[in-house]
Amino acid sequence: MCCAQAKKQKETVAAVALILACFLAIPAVGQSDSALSVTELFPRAQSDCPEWFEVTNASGAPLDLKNWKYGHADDTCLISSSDYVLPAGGIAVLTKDRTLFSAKYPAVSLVLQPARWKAMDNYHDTLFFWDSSGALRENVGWDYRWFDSWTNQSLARVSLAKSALVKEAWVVASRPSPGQPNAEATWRATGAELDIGPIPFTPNNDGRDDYLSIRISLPAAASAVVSVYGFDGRKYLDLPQPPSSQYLWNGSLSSGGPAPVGPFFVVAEITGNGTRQVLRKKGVLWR
Amino acid sequence: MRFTLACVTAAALCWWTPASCASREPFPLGYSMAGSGTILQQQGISGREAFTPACAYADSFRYGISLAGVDYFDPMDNMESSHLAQVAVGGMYSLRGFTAKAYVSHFDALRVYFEQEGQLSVGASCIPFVNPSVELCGYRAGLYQGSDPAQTRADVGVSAMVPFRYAAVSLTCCHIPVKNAAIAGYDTPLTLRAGVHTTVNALGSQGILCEAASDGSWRFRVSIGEEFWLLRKLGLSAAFTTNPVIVSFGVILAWRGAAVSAGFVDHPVLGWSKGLAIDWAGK
Repeated sequence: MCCAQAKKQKETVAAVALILACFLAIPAVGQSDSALSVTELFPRAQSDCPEWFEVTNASGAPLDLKNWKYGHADDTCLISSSDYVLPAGGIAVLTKDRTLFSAKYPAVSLVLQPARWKAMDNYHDTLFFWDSSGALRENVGWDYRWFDSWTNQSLARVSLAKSALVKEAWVVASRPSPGQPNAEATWRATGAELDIGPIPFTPNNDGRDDYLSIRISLPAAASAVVSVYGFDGRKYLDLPQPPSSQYLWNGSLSSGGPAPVGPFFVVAEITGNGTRQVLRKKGVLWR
Repeated sequence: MRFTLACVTAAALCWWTPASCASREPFPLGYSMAGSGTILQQQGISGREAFTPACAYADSFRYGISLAGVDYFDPMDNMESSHLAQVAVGGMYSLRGFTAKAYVSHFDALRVYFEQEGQLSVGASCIPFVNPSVELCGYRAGLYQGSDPAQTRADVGVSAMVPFRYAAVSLTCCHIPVKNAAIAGYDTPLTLRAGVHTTVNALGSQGILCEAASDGSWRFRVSIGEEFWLLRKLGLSAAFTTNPVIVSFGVILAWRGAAVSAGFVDHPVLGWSKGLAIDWAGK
């Protein structure tokens, strides 16, 4: 009787464990289906920096990259033949040359060098990612014609909601951020916006309102040229390219001299998707 | 003889001006706005309006007043008041070949910043060949709120008008500093201008104005303008200016000594400026 009860209890526990395991496993599997996302690319290698791309585990569970592959259908490369667990939210960088990459970016800790590297095309390419079971999990693409000002910068992904095969998902990064969340993703918006402040701003080195903050948000795949004009209608300076989410202007002209006091204008000329938009703001400078 | 004298005057003014800077205003105020200052006639609205140098006047009117207002560039939506606006009022008095002009103006930027300007110009048209004038200007600027004190500065200018039968030559050296402000960027920029302005002819009136300025590096501006009277009391004017490129045009309604003119200036990036001026002169 005792044996029968114990056997029944064991069966009950096993059944409950199986049911629990199923409940726990289903979301984990579901998350891992779309867990891995390529979030930054650097196909245009330099003498001091090899090709690399960044992958992010966007799921809430750890992800083991063992036996994951990437490449083309007829030319795949093994990402890792041993266990390589990417924690939830973790960001890893895969590169052709780990030593050279780490010399360039010593602060990036999760760096992986596959045994064989599938070269990335400098102009246009598509990469596929398969998990250990051979299921297709991610594919990304890029085309140099999507961007007006792509020289040797990395491409940053600004939207995980959009397919990584369309230009709206990518922008030319103002500065590479391998192993870090993309700065561009935080300021890219559906519509373009321009804000400046404080008004007035007083660049007189008194520690108060000495810099004008110029904040801009752009749609993905859009680029901007931001300039400052004087009241006399002349252009004072062009702010550095490619666009950043925020500029700080110290009230100097491009020649280095102090800008005249009085009104000035910040103008952002935004191009993208075959359209051109100009945003303008007025400010006042005083010393 | 006249040509020689004009050359001597021009050389003297150039020698007097070791460097020059641009006025910060993108275009002139008042009647001259539409023509960018290129239409300048001693016997015309431009000659008697209070905002031009006294040397530009040689007519029979004894006195006159001028009112002008400008709304600069397109409204932009970041402030409660999105306007940059200036109003000015001035007068002219002439007696026995001597002319005095004076005006004051108030400029407002976004209800945050102001500039005030006053100018007195005294000139003579009784001197043969060359009509000279001297301009004394005072400026005050500051913020409406805050503890920063308003800044003041002053400068002088000299101008000359050399009238010929079909055209006149104008020479101006303005913003020669007398008193500098205590802060950087509110300086007194020197400006050197030279222009040729025709009298009324079959094609209307024409003018060309050249300006040399230096804000550390040299900058040159050229303005070309035309004024044409469709009717005796209705005229049109237009001008083109380089660096920055601006296009201006306007409409003038004149009746005896009174004139009303509306001017419009387009900057390719900053948009449209609108101005209105009223001039009246009596004997």
